[in-house]
Amino acid sequence: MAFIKSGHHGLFLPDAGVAFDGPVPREHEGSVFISHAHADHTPQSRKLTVFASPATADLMRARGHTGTIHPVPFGETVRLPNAEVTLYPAGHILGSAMIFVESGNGSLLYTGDCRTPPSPVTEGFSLPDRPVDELIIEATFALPLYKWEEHHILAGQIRRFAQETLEDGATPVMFCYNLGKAQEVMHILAGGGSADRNVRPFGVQIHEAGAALCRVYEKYGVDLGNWEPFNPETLAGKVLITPATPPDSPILGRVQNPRIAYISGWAALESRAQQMNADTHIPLSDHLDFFELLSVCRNLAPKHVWLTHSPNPDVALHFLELEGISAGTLVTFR
Amino acid sequence: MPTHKSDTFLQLCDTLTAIRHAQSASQKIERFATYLRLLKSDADIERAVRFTGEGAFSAVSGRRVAAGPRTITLAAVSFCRIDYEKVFRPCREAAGNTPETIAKLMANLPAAIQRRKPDGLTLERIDRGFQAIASAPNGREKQHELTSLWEQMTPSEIRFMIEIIDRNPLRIGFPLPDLEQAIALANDADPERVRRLHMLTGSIGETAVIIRKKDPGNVTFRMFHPVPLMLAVSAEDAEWMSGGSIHHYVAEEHLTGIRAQTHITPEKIVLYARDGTDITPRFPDITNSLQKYSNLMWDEQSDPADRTETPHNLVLDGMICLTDGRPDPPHRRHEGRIGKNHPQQRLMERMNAKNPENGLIADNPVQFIAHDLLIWDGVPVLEEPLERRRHRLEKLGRKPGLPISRQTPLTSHEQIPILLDRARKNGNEGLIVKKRQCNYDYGRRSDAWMKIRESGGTLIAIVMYAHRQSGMGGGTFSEFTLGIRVDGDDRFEEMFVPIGRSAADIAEHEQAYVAGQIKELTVERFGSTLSLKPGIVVEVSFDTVKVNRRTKAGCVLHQPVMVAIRGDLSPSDTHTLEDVESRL
Repeated sequence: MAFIKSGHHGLFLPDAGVAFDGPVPREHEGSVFISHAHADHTPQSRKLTVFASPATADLMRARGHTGTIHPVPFGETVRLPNAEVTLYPAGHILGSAMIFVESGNGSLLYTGDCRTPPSPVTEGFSLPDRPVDELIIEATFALPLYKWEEHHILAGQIRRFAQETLEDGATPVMFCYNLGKAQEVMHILAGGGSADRNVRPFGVQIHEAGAALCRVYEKYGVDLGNWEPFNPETLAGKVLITPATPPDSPILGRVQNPRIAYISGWAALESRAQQMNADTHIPLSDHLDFFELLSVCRNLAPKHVWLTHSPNPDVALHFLELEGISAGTLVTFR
Repeated sequence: MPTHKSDTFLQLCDTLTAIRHAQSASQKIERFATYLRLLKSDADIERAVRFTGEGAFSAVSGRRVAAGPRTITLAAVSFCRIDYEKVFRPCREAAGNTPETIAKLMANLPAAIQRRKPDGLTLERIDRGFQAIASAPNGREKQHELTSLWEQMTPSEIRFMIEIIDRNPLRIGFPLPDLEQAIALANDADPERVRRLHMLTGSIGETAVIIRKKDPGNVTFRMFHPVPLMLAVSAEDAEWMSGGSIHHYVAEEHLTGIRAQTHITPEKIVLYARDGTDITPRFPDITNSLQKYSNLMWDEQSDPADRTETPHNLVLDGMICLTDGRPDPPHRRHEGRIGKNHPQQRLMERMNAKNPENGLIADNPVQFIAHDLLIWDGVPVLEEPLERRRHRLEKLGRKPGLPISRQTPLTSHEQIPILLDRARKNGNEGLIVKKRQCNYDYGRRSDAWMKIRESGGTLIAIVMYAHRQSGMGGGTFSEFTLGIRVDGDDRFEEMFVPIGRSAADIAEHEQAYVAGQIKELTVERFGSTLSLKPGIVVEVSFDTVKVNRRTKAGCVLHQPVMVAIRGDLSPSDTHTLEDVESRL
């Protein structure tokens, strides 16, 4: 299936008339599908008419999108003049979808950003049960250096950090992206996913930009526990969640005795983690690790794999080649 | 609470990991002290502390494992059954260091997981392993020894083993003073006593055992055990006065040379490099000269009372310098070989020749110039003030054959630029300013000694590579590789060659301009590094120019700092390599 670049980080299938995460190029006609509500996957134009999962639609509106958004529930098929499009849950953030396109030229699955096992604050992760000819898959962590710990271990680290920091009379500050990771950490701090029934839920404050997004998560039934927007006057005894910020930033300047945990897949490597100047680094990621990436490719067995969003795709290409899987790189995404 | 037997290497590694993650120095000290209390035998205490603070072998042994990054990497690639170029190299580039890369691959790759059967190796077994690797005659045998150990180790053990072999400080934020404190805490001892004992033994492992036994006996510095040298801190001209009045200081020229110590007895003379390696065979001209000096001194001695003038058993700190060490003028430089005749380069040729031929010695004659005295007549004098050590050293220097550094008492700030100028004219790097009353704070970088250098000036260069800050947005750069022009230079085919790497310290109002320029000029990416077409012109200040034969230019700017983005200039306005060479 032919595809061309669309916008800054999108892709367009001319034959199918389907654009992923970007506008339809001017000389073409078609429909835009958004994989999820992170800024690097949503169109620059806030007035664009798009298709997206219901939760993604709500999150995009909460982030200022004013154009029409056609909500497409997972598993339902949108019939277009030249293709049929179905969304499958991608496990990355709430509403994140893999976009499956079937047309006369074959089938293609575009994963957007994805994660399996899925984030507990998403609709899960599932692959099409029909053959996939081409797979366009994100490969953010496409090195064998990256193999995530099991979720309950990382969740335990997060809760333990919060507990020990509070016991020391300090303020736990968790550096995490305010859409997706922030809500997953809040869910963990609320006791979500813990087998321990006596687990203590923590009071949480979140950076104002994340508060509106939390309300969308709660609308979809995600338990975020006892939280409120950031207020330094009432922060004592609570956990603060904020995007990574320099030590001299205004928000940290208003926190008494902050102790910082950097929560990201990038925290898996010490050299990267140390640049964040955090006290603790917890490698909880929203993305596939290297081995999960190979596993998805292996299980789906497409005719061809395209890797995107990877700073160093060559290692994964080498391993796919060793497994006899035809693969290449979409350099427009790098 | 320990999770493994206390005498296992794994228990030590768990402790070191906990120290790495501890949030304060006091927590780190407490954790190591708790671990030390668990160890039952003196031998295991010595090993655990040695591995943590010294390396595979005692700091005073002069021994090394001699397994370099190439040997270790090839062993790891073979162990994990991966391709070096296609897998290891990109992983190494992403991780930024070899031990972490190898540990991750050992932990994650199925081939490595299947091959490893962790067996709780004891500290004693690891100690024997280090000795076996050191004794192996070649790289292949060393790799065999490494992999046979790795088969019985966890990734964490493998990682720490590699870091210990590296002899670098372990990357756990646990410097020697904290380790001394932990030893003191574990044994309810005075930290200052631990520190002093460490100064005497030169080995933190041995120190830990002596402290545990609570019987220092007759521990003292010993001849022919190299003493870790005292190091100077860099000082800005304005800062170094914070320690007191200028009258409290003396100045010496920072000689261009190789730091070394020599141990002299009537029977034997040994030269040690800064890392404790015995380099005596590399400098027969120095040992011959010192032997003559020694013979002369002790032949003259008729009365034992003369020992105050002509002591037996000396240890001297100093520099190995060329006897004709001034930089050659540019017209005398060998065509196409930048800096070949530069003193630093000639000294490195001497240092690299383990058994130098007569021709090399004749072309590059050297001498040992003493600047401090560590042992006088077999007795350590490190606790004496510099003034007193200097007085003794000057006595030694009165006899021919032992040159000593020239020392100038400081009485005013106005002397500094004059002395700096004189040092530069003498081909030296700058000044070392020393407190008159300081003792010899061995093995430490102490502000009682301060390096002062003249700024090398500024140059106009281009940005050749922009290095992205890991984990940050695409427009954030941490460092720039700077390039200097060689387009009219017959020695090169390129237009620019790298000349140094500086922090990407850009003023806020220039960041958008630079980010836009980088986007426009990027021609290639290597991981987080972007290769740029010539276009971004910068003004750079630097400390000195140093010869570095491993670089294409043959020299590098030392401590370059970006002063300004020069949007008003074009790449053809930049300085040339010849301009840089003229400042060597």
